[in-house]
Amino acid sequence: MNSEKRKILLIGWDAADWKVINPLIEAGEMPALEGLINEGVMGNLATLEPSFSPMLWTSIATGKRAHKHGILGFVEPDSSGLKVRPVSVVSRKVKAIWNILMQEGMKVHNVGWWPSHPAEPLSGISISNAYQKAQKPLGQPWGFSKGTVHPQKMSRHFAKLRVHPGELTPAHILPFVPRAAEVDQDKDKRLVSVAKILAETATINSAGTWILENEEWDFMGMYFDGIDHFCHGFMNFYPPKMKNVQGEPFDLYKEVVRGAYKFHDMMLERQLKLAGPDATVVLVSDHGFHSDHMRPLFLSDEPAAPAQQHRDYGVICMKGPGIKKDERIYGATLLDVTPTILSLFGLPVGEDMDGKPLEQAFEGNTEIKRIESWEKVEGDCGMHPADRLEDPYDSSEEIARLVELGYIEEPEKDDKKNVEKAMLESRYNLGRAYMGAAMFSEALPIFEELVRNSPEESRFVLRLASCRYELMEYDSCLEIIDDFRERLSNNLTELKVNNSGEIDREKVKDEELRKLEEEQRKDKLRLLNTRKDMMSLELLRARVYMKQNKASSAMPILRKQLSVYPRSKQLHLSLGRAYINLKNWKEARKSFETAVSVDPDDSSAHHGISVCQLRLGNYYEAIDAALNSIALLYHFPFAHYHLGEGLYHIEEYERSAEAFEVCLAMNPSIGKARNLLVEIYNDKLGNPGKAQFHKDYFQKDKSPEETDPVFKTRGREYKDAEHVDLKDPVIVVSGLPRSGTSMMMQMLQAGGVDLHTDHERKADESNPKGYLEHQAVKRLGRDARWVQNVKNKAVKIIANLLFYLPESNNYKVIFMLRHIDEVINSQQQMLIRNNKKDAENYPTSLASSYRRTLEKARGWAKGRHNVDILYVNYSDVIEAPRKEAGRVADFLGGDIHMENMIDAVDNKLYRTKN
Amino acid sequence: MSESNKKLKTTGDTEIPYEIPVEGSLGLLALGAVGIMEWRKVRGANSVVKKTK
Repeated sequence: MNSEKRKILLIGWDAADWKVINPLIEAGEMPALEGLINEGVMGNLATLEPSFSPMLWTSIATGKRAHKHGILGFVEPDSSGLKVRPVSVVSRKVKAIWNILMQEGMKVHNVGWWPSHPAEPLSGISISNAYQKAQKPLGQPWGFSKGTVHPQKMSRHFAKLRVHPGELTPAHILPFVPRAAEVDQDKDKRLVSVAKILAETATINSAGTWILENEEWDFMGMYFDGIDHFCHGFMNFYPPKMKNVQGEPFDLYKEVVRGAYKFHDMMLERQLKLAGPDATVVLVSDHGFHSDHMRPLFLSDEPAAPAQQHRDYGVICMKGPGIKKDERIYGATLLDVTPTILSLFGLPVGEDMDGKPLEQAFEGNTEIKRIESWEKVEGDCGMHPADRLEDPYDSSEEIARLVELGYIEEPEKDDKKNVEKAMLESRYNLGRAYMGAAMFSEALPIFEELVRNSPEESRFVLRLASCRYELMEYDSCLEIIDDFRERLSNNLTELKVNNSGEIDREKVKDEELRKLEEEQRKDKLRLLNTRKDMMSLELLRARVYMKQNKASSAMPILRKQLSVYPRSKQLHLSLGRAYINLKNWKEARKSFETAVSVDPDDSSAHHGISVCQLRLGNYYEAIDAALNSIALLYHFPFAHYHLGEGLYHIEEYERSAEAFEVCLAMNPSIGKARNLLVEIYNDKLGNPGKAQFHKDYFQKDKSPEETDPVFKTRGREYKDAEHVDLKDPVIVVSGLPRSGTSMMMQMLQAGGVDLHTDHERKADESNPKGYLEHQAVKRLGRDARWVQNVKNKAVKIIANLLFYLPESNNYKVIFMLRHIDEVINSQQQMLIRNNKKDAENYPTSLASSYRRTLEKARGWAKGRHNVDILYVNYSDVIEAPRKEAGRVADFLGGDIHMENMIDAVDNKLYRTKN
Repeated sequence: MSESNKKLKTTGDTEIPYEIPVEGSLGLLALGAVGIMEWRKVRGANSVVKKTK
């Protein structure tokens, strides 16, 4: 792919959704976007948890999740720490795509990204997200906050390009609200809202088009929040009419959302023209927006509740040199945008990025280059200097907008309380971000702390219980559920009493009546939300029971909740899974079919139907359902597996093999697919070569370096990072069980390092020199308080438990590596010696599970500033003990008796090597 | 409603006929900086004409 002369225009449309776009394209009302799709690729873009726009747009721009990039919500304490302000770019801890490209010598511009205030000193023009907000009525001086435009000398020029809502005329408003003349503007302020959003959107377009037309550029980012703002204000009036929306406002405002999309398409036409035919254009949204029967009838009363209107899938489309034409791409997430742009420029992707380049969109073979991290590349990248004191700007307008949209509550007069609230929400959002990344051990202490401080907040308690569930701590999870259920029941009883009273309208005055009605409305909302919390709690309880193989106990819970929420998709899905556990395929199918009737776009519901139809022997129906599931979510390995199984049964062996191959490409550890492939290639398709290829996957007689890529200690996979000095570290010896951890403990002991061991587990034939373990380690997941007392001592902790180590300490980790087959063989020998295992029974699935654990441990160490890790290869210690002891001594520093360490290595123990 | 049929410079040196109504239009907003500045000129000129009448 020729990347030398490439120019990339990245356009962000907050909340854009194919569900609204597709009918407009079919009606010929979004011709520019249609052209972009026809000339390039399009697909869904999966969002992240929580779907809060400043966090998401920063993930789009960095390729990293929120716990890495540091933007954790809508507001943050200002530099004084005494007040809150809208979240600012100085809180972003990592480089955005434009910083990386600038460092590579490119001319980069950025307009309006959220957050981007104060504007970064980029090589081109940088205009912050404070730019478009009109703070004063038309005619009064409309000043600029300092730091809105870089270079500052262009501030006056860009100030003139802004559009004030007061400038707009009926010609601008009528396409959105054709019957605007009928609106009683004394009572209904929604026309003002339309004008404000439209003016802000036009302002961003004005600045962006000026730059495209007048400046040299290699990269240009433009972000529009108009669609999101129009949707939050007017999606409830989008057809079909919702049952809780009155007829008059529906008729007045039903065109606003469509109008918003059509206006964005008109702007896109201009932007594409200015970018030129050879430019690469990437258009993305951070999440979708429910526009059908999935629109929530009411929102919960927690902060940022409007995000409940967001849909999990936004949009992506791309066109340009080297990009396929008129094709669909699958499985993209918003973390992939930055890695894809880097690859299009021929630049390496950071290994610390969480996304991947969307190679399926590229024509031909594109070499994907890698770099450990762009954060380590020095040079001017246009970020604010680390020591920069923030320049708080007049944020009242932006705060007011966020309040108006419902993303934040009305600030209290007490600044201290506002700061505390902002801190609390950012902790909560960080916990949710960890949950979204499946980093449950990291999320757990955050939710524990939140529940400790605010035990009545349902959202904290529910997350804590979910976290315990994901960590498979089912008893703890049930304890939380039981405790909170009691409190919710009491609340429900109280709220029911409050809601049962009628207001005697004849006895109260008008003002009082309004107050009483408002109170009644709030009580009703509280009642609805408490019922919903109860449902979430009971749903979780049912899921725990299913994990504990007690599906029959889960059934009555789910049925009871269904009597209250008969259209809850989650309840029907869980009921379907419970029936599957009980092998009641017909009832399971019924539940999944109901889930599909609630949400036809739920891929897991279609997949559930596929599984049931397979077990009922309805193979054609099973294939159809699997295909429906895959069409909605392509990256769903089990849907491909069950498609393959259905095709196998109807003797469509070639197609069946294709489906299994796709399944394994997505998840190589699904052994059932591999076994069926071996059979198909051998017995049905006469292709023993391919059968052998899959058999070889389990083969154990190759050298470790060939068979096990994660085994390499000197290659990319386990390359030691630059070691750092950590104060009073806990020295952790880790690895898989039987990978040489005891040997390393013995070496450390001989070298003079204090060990944390209770000597409870005695030496035996499997470990003649002793295990040197401590029983407290086994309970690390539940109680980690002891760890702080182990500073400067060595403790043995197996790889699976590393994730429970508290963040508050520093760790020097010596991680033992050994070929996984050797590890498993050694474990087998030990179990046989202890009369616990049959020698013939080789656990093939264990290998892939161990590989995942190693990967997870590697990721854990890599992402932490308080962890320094040294990878030590077991066989290297046996073969070259002096060299390896030297590495360990260097790593730990201080006085270590090298000769004693070397003497402690007993190579006779290396007896299970193949 | 008075209208102008000025030629609007939209990209570089290319001039295309573009209607610029005094009350503006979504099309002019979508054209970006060029459309907004030209609209303001027409609007300003129109208000001068009104004042002098």
